[in-house]
Amino acid sequence: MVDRKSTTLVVPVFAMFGEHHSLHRRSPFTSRVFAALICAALSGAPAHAATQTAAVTASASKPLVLTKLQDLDLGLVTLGPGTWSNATVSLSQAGALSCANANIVCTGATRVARYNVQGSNQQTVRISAPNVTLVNQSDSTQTLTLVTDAPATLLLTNSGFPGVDFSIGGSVTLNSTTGAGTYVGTFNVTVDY
Amino acid sequence: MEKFLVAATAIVGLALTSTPAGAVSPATQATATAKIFRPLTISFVQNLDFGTLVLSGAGAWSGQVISMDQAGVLTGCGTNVTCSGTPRPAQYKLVGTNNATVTISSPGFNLTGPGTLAFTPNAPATVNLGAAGSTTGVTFGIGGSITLASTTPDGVYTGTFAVTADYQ
Repeated sequence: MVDRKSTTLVVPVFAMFGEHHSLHRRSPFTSRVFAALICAALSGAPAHAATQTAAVTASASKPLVLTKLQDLDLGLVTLGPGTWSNATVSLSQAGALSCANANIVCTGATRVARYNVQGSNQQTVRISAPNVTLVNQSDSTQTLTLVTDAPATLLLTNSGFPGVDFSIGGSVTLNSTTGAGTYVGTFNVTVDY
Repeated sequence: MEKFLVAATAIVGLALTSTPAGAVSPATQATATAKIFRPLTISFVQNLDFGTLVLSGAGAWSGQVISMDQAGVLTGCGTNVTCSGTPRPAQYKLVGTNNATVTISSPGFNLTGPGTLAFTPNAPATVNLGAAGSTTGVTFGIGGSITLASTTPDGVYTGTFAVTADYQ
């Protein structure tokens, strides 16, 4: 219904009341509020009024953005002579190399993998960094498993840029029968809130 | 009795996100690399020999460089210096890991004899061990150069290389 003095569609108040008819030059919102108040006034003291409340939560989150910053490099591991097994080379996510077995010698520069994640300030981000299969570039039938060392979660301390960087290390276990060569694999890191 | 609308409303929590919830991946993942190598060995194969260099130039002259490349070919022979005999480069053999790249270090040294001649090696910076690097290995050559003058004392000059090799 359109009021003669405006082009605003006016919601008839009588729709709320049933029997009462009244046209007002009010906005639909105020008409409904007015109707609610009248309704409450006319109701007196309801005998069986029931009140329900529920909490309202609204979480507005920026979408997560994950970016790779740096590749992982375990350096060069030279295998000693003889027959032996279970020599582990470890690079922690902090960048500390452990190469304590007498049957291997570790040389060369090492680097952890690094990623940057951006999202909503003060949100906790879960990090998934499954183990990586490394393949001998000289013989694809020979593989090593890189057991990753990554944080399980991190807290974003800013919104969007610059985000927070995190590092991932890893370890491999070698035997005297491990095929020599350059082993390469690709991480599959994901993050979510 | 008027009927009025009694609404018991449960208000739903509203999550505003512009992308669906779920794990996020980067555009490019990091790679992981580990070089697992066998020990590298370097062994002597052959000495370097310039052959016979005759100071044949007339009068006083100096600064005549005689160079040998890594294959043993001499340059600089001619007016001042006549070269004869069989020149040969030094040779070493590397055995280690297939297809690994090795860096070579060969610093200069002096040849001593009737006098002293500074020797500047001509060695490859790197050598790739190739597909048979762990078995047959690879042999590489080192040449070098000396500088002669009409006043260089004649006689036999000798010196010793100090070559080292490392995985890159």
